[in-house]
Order: sequence, then structure tokens, then C-alpha cells
Amino acid sequence: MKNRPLSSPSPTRPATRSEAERFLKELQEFRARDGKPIDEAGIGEFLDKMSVASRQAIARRILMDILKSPTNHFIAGARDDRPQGALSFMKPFAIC
Amino acid sequence: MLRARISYHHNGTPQTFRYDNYWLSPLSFLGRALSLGMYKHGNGFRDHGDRIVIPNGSVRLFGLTPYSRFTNWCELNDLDWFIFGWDWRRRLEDTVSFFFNKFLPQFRCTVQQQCGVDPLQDFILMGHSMGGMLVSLMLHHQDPVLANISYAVTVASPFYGYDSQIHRWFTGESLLNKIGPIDVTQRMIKVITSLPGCYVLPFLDYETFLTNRLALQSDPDYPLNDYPCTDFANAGESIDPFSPGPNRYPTDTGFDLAELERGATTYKKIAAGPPAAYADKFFNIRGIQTRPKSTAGTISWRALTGPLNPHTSPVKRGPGWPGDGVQPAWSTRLVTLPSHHVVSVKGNIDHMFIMEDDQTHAAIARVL
Repeated sequence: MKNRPLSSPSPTRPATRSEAERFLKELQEFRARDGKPIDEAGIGEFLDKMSVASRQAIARRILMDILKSPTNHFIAGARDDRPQGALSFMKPFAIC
Repeated sequence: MLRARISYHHNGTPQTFRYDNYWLSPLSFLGRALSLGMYKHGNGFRDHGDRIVIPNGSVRLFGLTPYSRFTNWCELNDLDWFIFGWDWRRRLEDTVSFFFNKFLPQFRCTVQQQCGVDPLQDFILMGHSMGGMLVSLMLHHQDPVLANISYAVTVASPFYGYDSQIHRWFTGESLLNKIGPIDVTQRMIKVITSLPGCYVLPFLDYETFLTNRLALQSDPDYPLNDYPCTDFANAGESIDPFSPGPNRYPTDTGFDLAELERGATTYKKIAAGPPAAYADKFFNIRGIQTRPKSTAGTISWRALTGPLNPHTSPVKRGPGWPGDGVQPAWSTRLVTLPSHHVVSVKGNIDHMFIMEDDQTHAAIARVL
């Protein structure tokens, strides 16, 4: 078939990896902790402070990278939630 | 986008449902992805927590999808489109069955009622990435509606596998492995190994390689000369990820060898190509980034000597190959197709967003 190309501009450029990493790090501040659930209202405010273009640039970078080979950077000092010994924390995935 | 029902009430009034977005949203990175796991139930699978998970359209994050520009192009070119959202976690055969037995009859009926035309009188199936594997498998389904198909097109779909899925079984997903300071890699691996749909994705089995070896080696631009998966210590030893022998997959992560065997059967059907009736209608579009050798194309694999340590994976990437950043170019076309059924798109493209690229649109127009 004859191709009629779009005249609209090319899509937004992706954010850099370091920008996406910074975003995800800031996002972690809203995680569930101290018995409180995820702060969804806080996430909403956090995202509202960003421009649409910035959010979509971050989204583009994340969507691009999530299918790539895991780099599995393990940040020094990260706490491991595994209990000592048996892998009892797996219980939620052993549903019968 | 996967949405899960998380609660309902039935007290004489109609049930009410509340849905949360499980994939992909900001909350996915705060632990919600840990709820994407599945568990075996009878001959099938159910969702973690007995949720009801519904694939609702294409993946979307902050309003961005990889397909908006593609659908705009379709409209400009007078192509009516419908995006069939499907659950990539489930067995592909289950999705094929649902597509033909549930979705298509409902879709056809709805369009006929509302538009007065039969949308399946003449239609095209197009699949991006793993969706192309699904399209390939659909062509093996016995359904009279397939007599009306005019084209089946795959874009950036792995016919011979890729490395990332194998890594994920050992190391989880780096964007999801941590919640704040808490390392949840082991739990993430457990989730990933519980997903039956992913067992069709590793590199091609050795038998398929041998069957297609000459053709794979003869690709003038992007040949695969040797089997892509080898032993770490002995590069001359091929390791078939569908049947790797002892001490290759961990036994303490939920990795499901029975599902791997089932995945191999499904995969071999896809790699065998479409039935003869559809061979003339089947086209593959593959992406090659301008940046040379940007894509992993081989792995070396060390035997496990004990429990898995996800931070010292036994699987290592080999040197880079031409590809779209995720899929090597030697994988994203069926090697048994005639050359004029394969179109290579080269440039500043990326696997996930290849459907947005003007060159991809031109390639699609070329084959339709």
C-alpha cells in the first residue's frame, strides 16, 4: 500500500538513565513503611510537580529499559529482607 | 496494562468492583509488582491472592504508550485498528484460545451491531515483540475466520529467543528488585519464575538451531554462526536453555521445569513457521540500531554449585550484536521466510518504541 507518513513530530526523547534513576529513587520516598501504606496522594503531588514532557520522558526511558538485560546493580549497603535460614518469606507465592 | 480486582461485595445488590493498575504504574516500583505472581491450579494458573487480572489495553506509563503514534498512522492510512490487550504472564495457548473463542465473536458482533460491517471479512493480524509470537501461534489455531486474513505481520518478534528472560530467572528485574533500602530480588525472581508465559522466551532449543543452522548462517547481513548459549568454562559446549541438563537452573526459586518443557513445545511450533496456507501472508519486520553491536546476542552459562545467589548470576552476556537494543537481528525474523517477506528497519530505533517510528510505518506499508 502507499505510505502516507505522519507529519507530527517525532516522539519525545527519553530521559537519561541517570534522570530515570533519580526519579525512581525519589519515588521510593513514598513507599509503604512504618506500618503505613504507600503514600498514593504524595505520589500524585510528586508527579504533578513534573511537566507532562518530563513525565513522559521518564516513562519512555523506563519502558525502553525494562525489557533489556537486567543490570542488577546491587547498591552497597542495601538491606536484605530475607530472614535468616529458611526462605519462609516466600509464603505469599505458595498459595493453595 | 494489567488491572486486578481487589475486592467485591455481593449482598443482594449488583457486585461492585474496584480495580487497581498493577502493570505499569508508579506503584509497580514500590512493591506492587510482587503481586504479579501466579500459582498452579489444576491444569492452569490463577493469580496471586486469587485476584482477577484483566489486560486492559496496551502497556502505559504516565499516559505514554508505545503505540499511540502507530494508531495515528493507521488512521491516516485508512486502516481501522483495534489493540487487543493480552496478559503476557499467561500461557500463549490460553491467550490464543481466549482470542478466538471469546474475544473475536464478541468483537465481531459488537462491530456488526454498531457499524453494520463485518470487521473480520478482511483483516490483518499484527504483533509487536512477544505479540508477534502470539500472532504466529494464532495461525496454527483451527478457526474458519482465519480464511479471511490478508496479512500476518510481526515487528521485532523473537523467533529464536533472546537473553534477557534467562537473566531474569537468575537476577530478577533490576528496576523492581528494591523497595527503598530493602532488597526483594529473591521475591522478584520467585514472581518471574511463576509466570508461565515467560517460558517460551529463552534462546532457541538446540534442535531448532541444527534444523535451521545453514539458513541462520547464510543470512547475508545478520548471520548466526554458532549456537548462542554455551557453557562458561567450555565454550565448545552448547547449553540448550530448554533442556540444559543438571545444575543449570536453581531448584530453590520456584523455577518450573514442567512449564519449561511445555514452553518448549509451544516455542517449537512458533519457530516452525506458519502453516502453508498462511506462508504467503506472513511478514517479519526487524529493527537494527545505528549504534553497532548494541544488543546482547549470546550468553555463557556456569553450572550452579549450590543455592542461587542472585547477585552473582551464573549467566553472563557475550559481546554485542546488531539488533534493536533488546532482540538481536538474527532472532527477529523467521529464517525460513523468503527474503522479500523480511524487512529490516535501520536507524535510531528502540525495541519498545519501534512501532512509533516512521521507518517502521514505511516498512509496514511496503508489505501490505
